[in-house]
Formats: sequence, structure tokens, C-alpha cells
Amino acid sequence: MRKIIKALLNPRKAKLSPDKQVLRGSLDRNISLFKKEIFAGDDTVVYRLFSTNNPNSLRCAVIFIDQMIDRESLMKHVIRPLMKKSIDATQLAGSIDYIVDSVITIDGANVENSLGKIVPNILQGESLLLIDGYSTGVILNTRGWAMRAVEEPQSESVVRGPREGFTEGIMLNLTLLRRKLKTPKLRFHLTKLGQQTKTTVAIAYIDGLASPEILKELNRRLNNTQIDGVLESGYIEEMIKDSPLSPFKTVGHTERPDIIAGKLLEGRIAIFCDGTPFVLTVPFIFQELFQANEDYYKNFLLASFDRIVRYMAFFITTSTPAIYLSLITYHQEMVPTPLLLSISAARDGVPFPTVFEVIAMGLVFEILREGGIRLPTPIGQALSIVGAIVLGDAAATAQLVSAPMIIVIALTAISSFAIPQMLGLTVIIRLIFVIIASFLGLYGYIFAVIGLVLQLTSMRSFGIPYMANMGSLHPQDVKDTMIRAPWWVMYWRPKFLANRNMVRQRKEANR
Amino acid sequence: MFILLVLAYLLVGCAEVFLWETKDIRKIGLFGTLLIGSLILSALMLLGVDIPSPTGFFEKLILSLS
Amino acid sequence: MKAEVISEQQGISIVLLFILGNALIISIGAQAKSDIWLAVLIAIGMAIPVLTLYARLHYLLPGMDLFDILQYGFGSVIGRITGLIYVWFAFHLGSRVLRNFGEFIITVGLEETPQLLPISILAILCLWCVKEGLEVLGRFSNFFTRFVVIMVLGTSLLLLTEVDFSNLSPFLYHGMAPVTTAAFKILTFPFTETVIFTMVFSNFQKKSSPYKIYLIGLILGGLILFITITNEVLVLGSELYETSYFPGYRAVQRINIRNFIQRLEILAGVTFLISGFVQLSICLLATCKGLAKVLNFDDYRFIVTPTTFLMVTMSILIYNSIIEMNRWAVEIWPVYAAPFQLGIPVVLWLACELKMKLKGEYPA
Repeated sequence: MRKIIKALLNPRKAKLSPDKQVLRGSLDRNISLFKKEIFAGDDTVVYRLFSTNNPNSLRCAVIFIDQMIDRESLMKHVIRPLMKKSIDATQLAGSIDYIVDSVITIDGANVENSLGKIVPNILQGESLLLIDGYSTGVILNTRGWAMRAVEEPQSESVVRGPREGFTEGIMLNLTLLRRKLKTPKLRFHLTKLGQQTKTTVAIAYIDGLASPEILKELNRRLNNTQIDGVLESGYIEEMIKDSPLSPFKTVGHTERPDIIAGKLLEGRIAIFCDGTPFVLTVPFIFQELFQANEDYYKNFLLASFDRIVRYMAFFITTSTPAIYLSLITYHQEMVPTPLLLSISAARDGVPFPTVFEVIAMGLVFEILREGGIRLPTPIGQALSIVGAIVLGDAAATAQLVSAPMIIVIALTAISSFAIPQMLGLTVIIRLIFVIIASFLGLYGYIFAVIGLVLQLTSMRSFGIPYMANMGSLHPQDVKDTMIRAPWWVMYWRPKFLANRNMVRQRKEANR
Repeated sequence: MFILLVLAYLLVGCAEVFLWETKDIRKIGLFGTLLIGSLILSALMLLGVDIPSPTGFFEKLILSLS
Repeated sequence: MKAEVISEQQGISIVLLFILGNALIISIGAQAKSDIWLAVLIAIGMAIPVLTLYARLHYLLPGMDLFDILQYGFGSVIGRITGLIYVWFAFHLGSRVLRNFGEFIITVGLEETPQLLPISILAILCLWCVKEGLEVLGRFSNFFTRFVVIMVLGTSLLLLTEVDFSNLSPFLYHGMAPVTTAAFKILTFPFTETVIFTMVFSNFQKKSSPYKIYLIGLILGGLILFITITNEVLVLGSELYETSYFPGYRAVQRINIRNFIQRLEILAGVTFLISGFVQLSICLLATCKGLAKVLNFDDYRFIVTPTTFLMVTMSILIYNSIIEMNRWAVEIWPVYAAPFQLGIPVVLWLACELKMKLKGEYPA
């Protein structure tokens, strides 16, 4: 009773909550409800009015948003049957079910009368069929909008391996994965994130391989996120990540279905996000930063060599400037005399201290890199010419920078490209190393390395130690770290992930 | 210099205690005692007061025993 | 708080690095002259029963560290008092290690830097490590062990060109007496310094883990120590080995291969820094854990910062000079440390065995 009085006293409030409203019996009333209230001022909404075939013609309307639906299927499977087929009033018998059952031929059709459910569906590209005299509408699955085709991802190109990459549509992405893992144990859980964007998010895993604890923890973290919009999986990544202040990523991302399939087979969990081709994987540990999908497709010896090269590149890109700096300022005795002489000859006349040289040149390189990323290719070429000739050659000739320093910076630069997953991260590490080495020499450098390893070993990703396997000497653990063992000896899945179902292949089967 | 030292200790101490989840009075007591002990020692060291090294004591003890 | 479980591999790595720590760099057992290799072997042999005893304590009372065991074996009051003495022992050892560090860096590398700077940086790193806990230290050691072992053995290999076998003769010129004294000194520093692990370890993956960790760690560490010390004596000769403060460093300095690979002493510095870091963290961890246990706190992390500060000031105060430091390590330490490393543990072990027999709580 009080509620009714309240509603009467405060009619505007009652009117404004569309979630609670329901459809009415009159078609005109319903249409004006959409036109004047829910989609007021929205010109992209289309209202198509038509009548069914005689003798007892029914007035109908289809409401949808322009360009978000597949017009052909709406016309072929909904409008045409309704207009062509004669509908017997006795068969309708006060219910709209007959139309769903026997008239329209579209695959997805749900009878619904609450606006709280209808409106979000229209916004997602479904259409609403209304019939005069009935207080229920039919939601028709007519989704279909222009999408980018499946093409090779530019950020992760391969020489050998599948060329397809994820696109922006989540359902297509899920099918791309399903095509690789044809097992009923592959599970997808769909949820919605973001109060305004209502982004579809899917958690994919293989039942029996993925750890239930990690799955539980992931669900808990996802449920705890309160955010108004999720436009890219990066939003989710930052909301669910461990060690949020650390620059190291504890959630992996990729654009390639084959990588996701491989990770799921190791017992990891993938998180798809609508609207982006980047799919997240958890847990993510340090060794994955050095893995590439191609390692698994080519000869294991060559792949192992590439792995070792990547680890070396990591060492070079983070450490060369710091080691160079401490060698020529603190430990000259370690450098062979001829080399020391040529370095000091090159440094002769350079006005700046070496620390300044290292940091300034490093900064210039980072600016060049950052400047080049978002430029159109023709301008990017101009930029690289300016960078290479003006800053490299001319600076050395003018004796602003010593030539060995340019070599050091160039070495760190090319090495940093060998581990693309860590671009940006290596810059920070390098800078810290250089600063500490500048006042404690190589001892300072070792202190910094100890600090780095401490940071890495103290991190966890969803309960898995970040450096799992990195220090282990157990043969099973080494198989996929510094080297990539041949497939016919990888009997087990990674121990730290798939405790429940370790067997990847049977030993006998391959012998 | 002395004031700087005291300030540094105070800053570290307060920052630590502020970050604790449970602020137990016994914990703060022990924490404070240790911190103040360390502060006094370092202050004496800074002032150049000659403190007899504790190892010297053991040394005499052991040498007298043997 | 979740109990910190340590895996066998990690435990072995920590023990290995701990044993190598200071011993790699300081001259130990010098009075055995040219027979020092024998002294090291005898010391390993003597250490095996002692370390088995430590492991036995863990085996008898799983889930307990030394401070709990003391209270179990000696009763609450005496247990706490001995616990407090052990806290001092760990604290003192930590200060010594820290000071060794400072002296090492000042002597060999950065003469103009004030000693407090490297000491403070190292102490802050240890503070961080101890706050993260034993598991992180375990993973850290596990990661670095292979590098340390490769570097130590690699430098020994490179030194082969400088080896002079006449440095090892005469064999037993002064009889067995100096060799046994040296062996005892090597036993107390570094081998049975591992008593500190009884204060740190409490939970293991398997029941037999403590034996594996202590003994494999001891044997691996002992062998590496044996190789390096023998190598040092071979290269430097026993006279120079005895008189230099950091013989490990001096020996590596001699590496010179075709004038290109030369002056690799920084590698000795690196191994020392890493293993010393582990040693120091263990000492700091033991001090904090012990203090918290004795005063009945459930967590030790809150006193790590002031303890670290105290340890830094203590490390500066503890010796007046590097000469005093070396004399302490060689002459006073074995006598000072023997009750902590041998006396009390044996008594404690007997007390525990007896008490368990009486109570009928003997583990299967």
C-alpha cells in the first residue's frame, strides 16, 4: 500500500527505471514507449511496421539498431514468413508462442516481456518483434555487423606457424580456439564486466587440467572488479594482476590462437575480452617471457639455440651499459690494455662524464623508438635516418659522445628487440643498473642484480612462484626453460601447473 | 648531522609502524626499543665517542680461560 | 601465518652458499701450512656427525625450530635464556659477516668509498629479503647456486696454468698436531656455523629432508671449498696464503691467459657478494625469528628493520681494524663458537631424546 502511494506521489521516479517496466498490450503504446522514453533522440534505431497476411491481419513491428543486425536474415526469416503466411487467429489463442513455433524461421527467438532484458539485447544487435494485442515481444537473434577478417597478427609474426590471429569479436575468437581444441573438456564461462560497457568476458580452460584453486582465485578477482568500462583486456590485466606495483607482468597476453591452445594444454587459463584481439593467460611466469610459439614448431636444437640467444640478449640489453661504465671508471685493470687505450683515445675530448653519456644516449634511443612506433611508415623512415646519421655519426664526429658509447647503446637497442615481450621493462632495469654502478662499480652492479633477482623471486602469479623452474636442476623442469627439449621427451606437463593430470604423452607410444 | 640522523630514524620508524596491519602495543614497544638502541649507538659513533667493542670482552674472557 | 616449507633443492642451495660465504675469501686453517687440504678433508669428516645431529633435532621434532626445541628440551625458562644467547650468536655472526663485506670491498675495490655505503646497501637488500621470508631466500639461492658454482670452479680451472705443485710439499712436516688444530678451526668456521639453520628451518617437504639438506649441502660445499683452498695454496704457496687477508682474491688475480683473460678477481668478488648475501640474510632471519620467538610474538617481520639498523651499527663497532677482524676469525672464533655449535646442541639432543623416550612420543 505504501509503495503504491509513494509511486503515485513520485511518478517520475517510477517511470524512469526501465528495468522494472514491462511491455503493454497495445502496439502503439509500446512503440511510443521506445521512441519517446528509452531510445528518445536516438536516430539509429529503426522501427519497421508491417501487417501479416489476411484474413485476420495483425499489426507487427520490428525494432532494431541500424547496422548492428544482419538485415537479410531478418527479412528472410522473420518479416517474409509473417507477411506471406496466413495466420489463424484460433491458433494464436492469446499467446504469441505459435508465431515463434511455426511462423518465423530464425534460429534464436525468445519470448520476453521485461524491458530490463529486452533493452540490453537490442543494444547488442538483436531485434525485437512486437505484435499488436500482445504484451510480450520476441527477441530475435539477428546479430551481424562488419568485422575485421581473421588475418595474421602484426605484433606477433612468425616464419613458421599458423597465420591466423584473433579479431575483435569474442565469439569468433572462441571458435578459433575451439577449432584447435576439439575436446568436450574445453570449457567457456561467459560473464559481463563493466557497468556501462557490459563487455563480454570469457574464461576458457580445459577441465581436468586447469587447477581449480587458480580458477577459483581468478573468479574471485574478476568478481571483485568494479569498473565502468572495459575497452581492452589491459583493463582486466591490471585489475587482476599480482604484485600490482611491479613492472614485471604476471598476466600474459597474445593475439595468436595457437599460443592460447598451447597454454591451455599446459593447464593455464585464458581470459577473452570482447572488442580486442589480445587474450590473457594466467598464471604467467618468468620463463614465458622468453618463449615464442615458433620454438615449438621448429627443430628443437635450433629452438634451444634461439632460447639461449634470447637469455643472452636479456643480459646484454640490461647489463652492457652498467658493465661498460664500471669497467672504464672503476676497474680499468680488467680491460686488456690495447682495448683500454683505444677506448680512452675515443673518449679523449668528450666533455661529459660517462654516466651522463650512458643515460643521455639511452634516453635519446628511447625517444627515437617511442617516436617511431605510432608514426606512419614514410615518416618513420625519415625519423630513423635522422636518428642514425645525425645522432649517431654526427654526435661522434663532433665529439659530443664517444664512439664506443654509441656501440654500447646500439648493442643494447638491438638486443632489446630480441625479447619483444620485455620492451620498456628492460629500460627500467638498465637505468637502475647504470645508476647504482655509477657509484659502486661492478660491486654496485652485483648489488642491483641481487635486488632484481630478489624482486623476481618474491613475486607470484596466482600462487605460482614467478621464478618457478628457473633455478631448478631437475631434468623435467629444465626441459622448457633455457632449452626446448624435443617433443618426444616432454612426457609431463609443467609440474607447478598441472598437478592433477601430469601425463602429456605415454612413453611407450613413441618408442 | 645529529638532527638529520634522528629525523631519518624517526621517518623510517613511523613509516614502518604506519604500514603495519595490526598495531599491537607490545610490538611497537619492542620495535621502538630496538630502534632507539640502534639510534643511540649510531649517534655515539657519529660523535666519535670511543665505545669498547663487545668482541674485546669475549676475547679477554677466552684468553683468560685458556 | 602460513608455515614456510622449504624444498630439498632450495635447502641444499642455501646451505651450500652459506658454507661458501665468507670462507671462500678469508684465509682459514692457515696454520696447517702446506697440509691444509688434509685439514679441510678432516674437517668435513668431523662435520658430518655434527650436522647429522642438527638434522636429527629436526627429525625428532618436525615443525619446530631451535627456539621451540630449546623450550621443549630445557623447559620454558632455561629454554628462553639459551634462546636469547643464540639470538646474540646469530646477531654477532651477522655483524661479522657484514663487516667482512665492508672490509673486502674497501680493501680490494673502492678505496675512497666510505665503508658504510656498501654495508648499508647490502643490509637494505637483506632487510628486503628477510621480510619476504625463507621461501624467497630459498628460491633466490636456488637460482644463484649454479652461477656461483660455475664461477668458483671456472676460476679454479683457469688458475691451473699458475699451479705449482711444490707448494704442497713437505707433507706433514710438523706432524699431525697443527693439522688437527686447523681442522677444528675449519670445522667451527664455516662448517658447523650451519647451526644457524636449526634456528631458521622448521618445516620440510619430507620427513627425511633435513638429513639430505644438511649432509648434501655440507658435502657439496665442503668439496668446493676443498678445491678452491687447495688451488689457492697451490697458486700462492702457504706463506702468502697465511699472510694475505683475502687469499681467494689474491689467487684469482694471478689469472692471465694470453694477456686477454686477465685480472678476473671481480669474479671472486661476485661469488663472495652473492654467497655472503645469503649468509647474512640467514643470520638476520635467525636473529629476528629468535627474538620474536623468545619474546612470544607470532610474527618476526616487524622487527626486521630495527634489527638491521642495529646490525649495521654493530658491524662498524665490532672491530677496530681489519687486523683485529682477521685475528678474531682465526684465533678467538673457534673457542667462542664451540659451545654454540657443539656443546649446547649435544646437550639439547640428549635432553630431547630422553624426554621423548619418557613421554613415549617417539616418531615412528
